[in-house]
Amino acid sequence: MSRFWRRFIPYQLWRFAVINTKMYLIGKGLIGPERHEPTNAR
Amino acid sequence: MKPRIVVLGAGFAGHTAALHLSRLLGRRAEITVVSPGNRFTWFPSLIWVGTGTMPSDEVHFKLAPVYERIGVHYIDARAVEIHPGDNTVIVEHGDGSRNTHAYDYCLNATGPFLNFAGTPGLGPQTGNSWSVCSVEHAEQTCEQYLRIVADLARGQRRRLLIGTGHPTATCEGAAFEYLMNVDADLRRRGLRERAELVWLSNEPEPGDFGVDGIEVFHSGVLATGASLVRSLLDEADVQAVMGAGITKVEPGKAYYEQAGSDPASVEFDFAMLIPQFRGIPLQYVAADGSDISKELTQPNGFMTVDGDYTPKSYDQYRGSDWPAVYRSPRYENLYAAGIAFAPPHALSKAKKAPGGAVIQATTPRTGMAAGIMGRTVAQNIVDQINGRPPSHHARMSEIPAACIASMGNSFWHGSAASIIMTPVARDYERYPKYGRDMRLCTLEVGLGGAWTKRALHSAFLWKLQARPGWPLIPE
Repeated sequence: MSRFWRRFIPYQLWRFAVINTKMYLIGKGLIGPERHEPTNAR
Repeated sequence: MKPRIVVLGAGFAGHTAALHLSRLLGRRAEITVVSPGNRFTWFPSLIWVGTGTMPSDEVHFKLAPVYERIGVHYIDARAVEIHPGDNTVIVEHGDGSRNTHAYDYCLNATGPFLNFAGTPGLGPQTGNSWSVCSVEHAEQTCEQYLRIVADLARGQRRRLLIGTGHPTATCEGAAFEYLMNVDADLRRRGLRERAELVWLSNEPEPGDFGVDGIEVFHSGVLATGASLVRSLLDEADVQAVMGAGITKVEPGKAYYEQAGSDPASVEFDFAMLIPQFRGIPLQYVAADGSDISKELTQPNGFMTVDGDYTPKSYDQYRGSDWPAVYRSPRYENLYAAGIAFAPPHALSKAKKAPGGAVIQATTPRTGMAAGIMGRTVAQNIVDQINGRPPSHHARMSEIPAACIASMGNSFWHGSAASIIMTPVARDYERYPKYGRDMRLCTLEVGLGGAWTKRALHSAFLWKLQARPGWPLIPE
């Protein structure tokens, strides 16, 4: 990725949203390896 | 009588376990946490303390008030002995006095022993090299780093050596973050031209980070962590020495071995080198008083749990080698999680120096992985209390890891590599080609990553202080 895209604020805001959503969903076990158990899984 | 649960250690695994035990059991159990120092440290931000871009009091908080609020008993002491036959632990207070505490369930989450002595001359106590493995170390490192900055500001040239200080050290990711933050800080100060940065690591190639690297697809094109990190090192004008194991450090000089080369040395004006990690020197004692430490731990001092510890070569590694429930095979009420459990093997390829020394990046257990393990152990203890066998599992070959590698702590000028891998340990039985779920693996660099790193810092300090809504934030 070029330096321009690494610094271009609108694109980085979009990537910030995507990465954080992805991390949240994976961390909660809502997507990802099906055997991973989410928080509060009981 | 209420079941008594003793958690040894209050790092990512131990503290997360205590939070979930409190959430799941409330007053139905007597939960005790034993940890020296009365504080939780958010280790991922210590790299910023080490470069002076974050005050040290922003990376830790006092544990006692948190535990008081959630009904957990806290003991400011360190564990010295576990008697699994008698179900007791012996703890030592700061004044040297010792107490015995009985338990029905025990979690060993004591973290790493920083084995500076494993490399002659390494570590802050010698004054030859520095580290960012604790708040005190990061503060010392910052002080030394700022001296170098002052030298550079006076027009002198300086060489900074950053990396791993032992052939089998771990946490290469943290050292890499420190390297890139130093680069960013020196550029910000207009001093980068006078500083020579050397990255010396035991990883077989850049971007391995002890997890055997990462591959991702960008618009259908395969990209590797190795190519990305190589380009970042080139852009930053960093000299990289890969597959190297430091064997000795003297004032201003480090000696290392490298696969395919004769032993060599590198001179430096400042060095931040991560030491080898070993298990905390806990003694395990049987009911008859005999020392059973060797039976309950691996040679590196970490506690044996339900993994497959048969010696294997890289080609024979299997996802199923990794422990699932983190319980001792000998004692049904003794668990180990986080850095305290013994990994069955490394994830990265080993290299051998001509002298025979093994150079291998050992498996990191990052905050996310350790937190998931801590939560899993808490759930399994609850299972046992409810009369069921442990039903929750979190193999390193099942769980994801998200790592945001900072490359500059600034809202406008910062940067970070955002890395997501699912699972951490490659599992070629489930994912035959790459060992990981390539739909979810992510690797990208940009300013958004720097915002994410700051957001995680704030979110997790909120969660780990058990503030309202904390269970909504995943590990």
